[in-house]
Amino acid sequence: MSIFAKLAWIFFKIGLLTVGGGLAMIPIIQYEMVRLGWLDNQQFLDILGIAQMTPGAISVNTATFVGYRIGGIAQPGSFWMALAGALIGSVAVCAPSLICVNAFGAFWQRNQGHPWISNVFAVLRPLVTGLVITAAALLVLEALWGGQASDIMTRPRAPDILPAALVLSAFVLTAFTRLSPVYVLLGGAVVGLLVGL
Amino acid sequence: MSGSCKGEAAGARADLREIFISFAKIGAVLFGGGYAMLPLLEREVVNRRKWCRFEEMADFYAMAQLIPGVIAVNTAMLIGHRLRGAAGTLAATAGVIFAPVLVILAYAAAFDRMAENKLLLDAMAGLRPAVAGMMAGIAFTMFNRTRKTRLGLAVSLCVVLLVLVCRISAVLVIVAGLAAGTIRYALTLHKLKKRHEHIR
Repeated sequence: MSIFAKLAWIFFKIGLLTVGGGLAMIPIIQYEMVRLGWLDNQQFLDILGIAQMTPGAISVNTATFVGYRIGGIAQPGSFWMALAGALIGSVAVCAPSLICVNAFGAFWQRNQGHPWISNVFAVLRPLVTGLVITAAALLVLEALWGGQASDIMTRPRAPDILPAALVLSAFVLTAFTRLSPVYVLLGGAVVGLLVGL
Repeated sequence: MSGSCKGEAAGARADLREIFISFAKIGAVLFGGGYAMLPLLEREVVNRRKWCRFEEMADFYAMAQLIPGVIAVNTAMLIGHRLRGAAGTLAATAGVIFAPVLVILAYAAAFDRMAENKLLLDAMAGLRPAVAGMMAGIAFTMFNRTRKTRLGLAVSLCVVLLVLVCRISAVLVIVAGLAAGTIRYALTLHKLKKRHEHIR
């Protein structure tokens, strides 16, 4: 399968499987990107941070970024191939909703309160919570122990102070204050810059 | 679903270019995901363009969560659909993703050149743990809401066990969740029918 066809199919699938919006996408994208080797966990954290600090939805941002990279790999050095990849990824991730809205828009409006939908969502909402917990756990492991995150169970050791302090502060600020995530993340980047000096 | 957007009701069709521009403006300042979208929509779509009333827009927003995909993009599509049908959905979608795609393109293009830049590497080294902590905070808040019902507690813990510990694919888990919800619906129907027969 051509790499572009695969790109389109993967992001179409991600768009289709995202139920309940936004956050539900993170674990699915993470899983698919890591499985395919298109991003590793660290790159995924980077793109997630960029996605949160720039306007727009995480999934579209990831699709644009990964599409650009895949296009660039298909023909190294060609900006136009990279651009084509970026556009294919971005359009593909929106395509399932585009089809749904046009095909069933009127139907959804009439049946919004249908018991089938409420029953399915009674299961899907906690399911998404479980997926977000999973994604968060994997991301924290990656941030604290980097590449060695996988063998931390067999050979436990303490993480570095700085990342641990940053993880903890970002957690507290997000869970217990109403501070916008933009500031939480900017704060992290600024601390990184200051420590690097 | 009550009423319709003003553009349709008045017989005047919203200009596709206007739809694109309005959603491009919203997309350019859409930080923090779909949940931050409502106030932006209110200002642009309700107050400035007067395409719909606030309640109608809130309905679209709720509906957007039931359709697969991103809430922000779905909301834009639904409003575009109401205003101009299929062409409206395309204009709204193109608009709402326009600025984000440009920004990420610029980032991706710059990233190739700056991959070895020390300042960027330092900033990223601080950003990564902050993202992880933020996700943990979101997970914590979501779980606090979810664990209040027995079903919520059971389903969310099962999913963590299956995906994190047993390494089952998230895709499979979602498909299984759809099936479980459908079975739950069928069981309620069955129970209702039985009770009905019992009364007769």
